[in-house]
Amino acid sequence: MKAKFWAIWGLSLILLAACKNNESGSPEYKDVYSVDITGLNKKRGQVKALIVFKNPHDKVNFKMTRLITDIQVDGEDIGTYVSGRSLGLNALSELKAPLEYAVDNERLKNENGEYASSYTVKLTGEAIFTDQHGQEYNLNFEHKETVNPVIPQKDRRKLKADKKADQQAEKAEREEGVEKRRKAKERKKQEKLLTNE
Amino acid sequence: MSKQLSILAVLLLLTLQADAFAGKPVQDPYFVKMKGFKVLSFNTSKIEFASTAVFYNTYNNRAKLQEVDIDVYVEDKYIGKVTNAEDIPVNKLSAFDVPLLLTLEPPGPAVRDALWQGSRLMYGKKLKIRYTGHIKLKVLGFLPIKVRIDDDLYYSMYAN
Repeated sequence: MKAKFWAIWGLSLILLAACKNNESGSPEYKDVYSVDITGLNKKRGQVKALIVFKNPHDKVNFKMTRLITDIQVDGEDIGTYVSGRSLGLNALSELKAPLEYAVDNERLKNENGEYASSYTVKLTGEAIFTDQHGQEYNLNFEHKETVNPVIPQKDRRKLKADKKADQQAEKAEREEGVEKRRKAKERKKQEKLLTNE
Repeated sequence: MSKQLSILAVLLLLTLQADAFAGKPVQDPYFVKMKGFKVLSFNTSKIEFASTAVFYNTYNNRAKLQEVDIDVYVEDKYIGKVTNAEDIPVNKLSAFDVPLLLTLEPPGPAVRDALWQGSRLMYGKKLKIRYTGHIKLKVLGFLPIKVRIDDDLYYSMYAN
């Protein structure tokens, strides 16, 4: 009887917790999706991403009034993205704020004028949300991701050729090393034989 | 003929006014923030500060940076003026970076003051650096637009 009572008590507690309204909470930063660098075949490319925020509140809607994001590619400051339009974040839902920043492709090339096969994109930003009373909520976020952009065909061919040349050089080095080791072993064997004699 | 012209002028005026009242008023370009403050050189013969000011072009038109006129203060003491206006692409409805380079080459009272303040950096002190002034953009090829800037940043040798 006692066990039944406690079981029912526990179950009702769980149910109550599940049904409880989430009446507190401010917007939260969730993650950054779809980070990419596009348009490398043009003069100006684009750094793209979707910055996701969520609203845990079940009644209050928020408005994202400003989104400022510093963009770094391979440790180099590329620029700052500023969102000029305000976006709504409804109760118990998510907001995917798009980031699109035009970048001069020359800045993405190395000293030989070639693209790399991958880039590390770092986004550091601040989003400002306001509720219906005008209260502001500042959210800071940071995201780092390595992306492999689609490289134009001629650059891709060059990259492939470079990779092949690197591999061949490595192979040659390895073979040279093996040969050296073999020769050293032979020399040691001969020395041993001579000392034995 | 003159009657027709006047009717045309009235119609054009009405159209322009309708355009002006149809959309919401366009906000002027504004200053967003300062970033990337660096001390490039710091000695008795030369002091060089570099930083970047971020602005936002609210217009649906491209613009050109025409003029930079920004005073720099270290701990509320005037040390110099930034006037280097580089050829920066200012795209429509987007943010743009304006690099600000301040070089103080001849040793003078301003440099001495800056050196004195800079020596406090060694002891982990934070320096207050204030940028105040404006930049001028040329919109539509002829329209000059002034964008004000007034911002403080704190620089520390150890935190940065």
